[in-house]
Amino acid sequence: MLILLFPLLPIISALCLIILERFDEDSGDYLSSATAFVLFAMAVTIIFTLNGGVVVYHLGGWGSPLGVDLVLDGFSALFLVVINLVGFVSMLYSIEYMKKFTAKAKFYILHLFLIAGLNGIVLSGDIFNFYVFMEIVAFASYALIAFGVEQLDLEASIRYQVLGTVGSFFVLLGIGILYSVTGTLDLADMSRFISQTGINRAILFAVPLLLFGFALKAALVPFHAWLPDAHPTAPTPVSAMLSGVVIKVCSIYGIVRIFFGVTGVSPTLLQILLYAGLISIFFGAFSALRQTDFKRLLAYSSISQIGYIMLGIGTGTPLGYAGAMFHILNHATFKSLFFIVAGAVEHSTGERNITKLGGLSDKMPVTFLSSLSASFSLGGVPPFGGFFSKLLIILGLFKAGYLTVGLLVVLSAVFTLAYFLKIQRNVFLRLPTSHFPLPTIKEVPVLMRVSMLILAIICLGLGLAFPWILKAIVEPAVAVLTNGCKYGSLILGL
Amino acid sequence: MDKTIRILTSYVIGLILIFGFYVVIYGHILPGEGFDGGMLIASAFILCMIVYGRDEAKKRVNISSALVVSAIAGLLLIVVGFLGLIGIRDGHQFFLDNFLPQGDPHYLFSGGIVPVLNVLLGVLVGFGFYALFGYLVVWRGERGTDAEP
Amino acid sequence: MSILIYLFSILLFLIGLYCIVSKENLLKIVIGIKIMGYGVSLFFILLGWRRDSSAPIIIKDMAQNFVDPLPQALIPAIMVISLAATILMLATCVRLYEKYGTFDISKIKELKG
Repeated sequence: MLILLFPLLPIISALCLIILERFDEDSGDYLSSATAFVLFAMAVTIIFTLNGGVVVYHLGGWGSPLGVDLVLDGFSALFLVVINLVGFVSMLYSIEYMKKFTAKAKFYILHLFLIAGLNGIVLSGDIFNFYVFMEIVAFASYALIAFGVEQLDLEASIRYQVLGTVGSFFVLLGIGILYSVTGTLDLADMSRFISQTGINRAILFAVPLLLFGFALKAALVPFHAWLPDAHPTAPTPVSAMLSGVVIKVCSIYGIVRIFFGVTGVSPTLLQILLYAGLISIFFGAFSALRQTDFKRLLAYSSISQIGYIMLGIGTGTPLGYAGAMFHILNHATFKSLFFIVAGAVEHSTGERNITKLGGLSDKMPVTFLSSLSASFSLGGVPPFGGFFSKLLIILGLFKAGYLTVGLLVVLSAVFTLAYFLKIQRNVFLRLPTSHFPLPTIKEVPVLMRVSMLILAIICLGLGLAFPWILKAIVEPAVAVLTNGCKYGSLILGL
Repeated sequence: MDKTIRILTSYVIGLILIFGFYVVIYGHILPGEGFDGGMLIASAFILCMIVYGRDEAKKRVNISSALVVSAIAGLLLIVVGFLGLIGIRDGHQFFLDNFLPQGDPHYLFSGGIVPVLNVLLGVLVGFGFYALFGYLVVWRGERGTDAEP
Repeated sequence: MSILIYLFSILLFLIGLYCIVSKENLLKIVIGIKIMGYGVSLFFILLGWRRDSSAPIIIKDMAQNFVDPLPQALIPAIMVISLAATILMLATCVRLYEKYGTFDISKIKELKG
């Protein structure tokens, strides 16, 4: 019954905030942070108590194929931790950061709807509910990107809107074709039907439509054009949420649930994901090396890391799956931390061009330490978490027989190292250029420091506590992927 | 707007509003439910704003209070859902449980909590879309152009 | 004959997609998105058709074959989602016109993509 609160509690807080903002302008700060903290605490409790089981909640008491269900299994639990952790940290960060903007309460309302929509996506047991929550997330992110209403924000937002709406309509067309074949909208019922009657040619037509829609949302390489514009121009807490969580939940959760769970995955599909991921890794890394804007570099780096996750899913072995799942957790923490560091640097110095920055390591020590933690996790330095996830992906590739692809991925780690060393040298470590007002810069306020430290400690902790996290969080998620089409028979009994 | 359009709209607008309420209230017997009826109510308000101008529509229904009414309807929807969770009907303790008496079909007072949910959804959708349209229209541009027909 | 009408709804979807891809005026792109939404909704309604059946309204004491009411119940949700997407896009277009002075997307290119 507790899983009902995950989509509902942020919606209740957002509706209360619409009423409360008439009376008190600052009431949004503590209400939204408290909501995000409660959700994060509940997500961590679920990790400790779930132990590989499945929880199903029937709304309204209707039976399984007739009514709407909320389904929580190991894969959903992993995503719940990711969403609520990044949501909580970005809420904490935005208490100080949003003092620059005038309509602060509306920011909190939109951010709470974003968290509610993300929680709803990972908990829905119904394919149409999945689509509706995906649209709630899309609308909240369109409005949040255009929040500070400047020229660049509006242009980035309209690009994301046009491409995102096209992707959503393709997903809807795929959902329609799947409904016409199986006759039901429930995911478990669909899975049982398809595993009993075999693959129909209509389902083979629906799979590329769904894949196109999800690839647009995930910014895989031919469809990545909106991401380097949208993520830098958004306000910093929104960039952290978007880059760390939204591009993974909307697309990778959809791919795993619908392709692995319902329609069945063929080796061709796995190869498409693998090669698309490989192209994304190199394109993102090469483009990131040439950038001079801090946040734009991080946006291209996001394209590259999503390529790693697609590569891990495309291997087809449990080692590769485990690497991809752990990389989802790692990438959420270190990429959100990196965006928050970039926002802190911009807050203190007013500058985003890394060729003009320099020498911030002794003026902003907390920021410097957090950026070191994020950089080591990004580059794959032990004992930080990124090392283990990349190691698992490379081992999965070798075990599946893709030797050249594995060597190319090892080579790409060199490029990743190159661009994060570029950030560290240009922003923090070198002597500053002459016309840079260094003595007036001080550290960011307390709440921003707290949010950076939380994520930095978790980056290190994910690597140190790796065996426990592998057993408690990653293995139930991998079990969902390897079970595949038996998803239906597992859920229908409950 | 034109004098002809104003006179004709003044005859029609009350009928649209009443038809919207009819679709919402009879939603469990006849086609159309909370969403459709709410869109009709919203279109009645929006028609008033388009034909008579922003100030006349603001005198009838204030835009910011429309947003608050919509939020209160959303909260009441969730409260009705939680009332089912508490367990007014013994043995059935679910969110959005059907706890009001379910009379004979094809009559108005039947179907449990479904008419209540329809009315709340109609208010939420109707006032919400009117408030969205109001915020879109009353924005004043930088060059002094007033964005009103 | 029965496959042809599904192809027409997919044709409407493709006309909307062509309109988004090839037109330069931002308002025409919004119209293209609306046409795509209508195409998908039409496809959904056509999914429920059964042979020799009537509209799914139960009038007293008349048992008949009915078409599938489930896609018809999904249509208001899809319509509201499409409407909200259009409202957001038009709000952004109005403010874009104030900042850039034009609706032409070949001139709104401050960011390097």
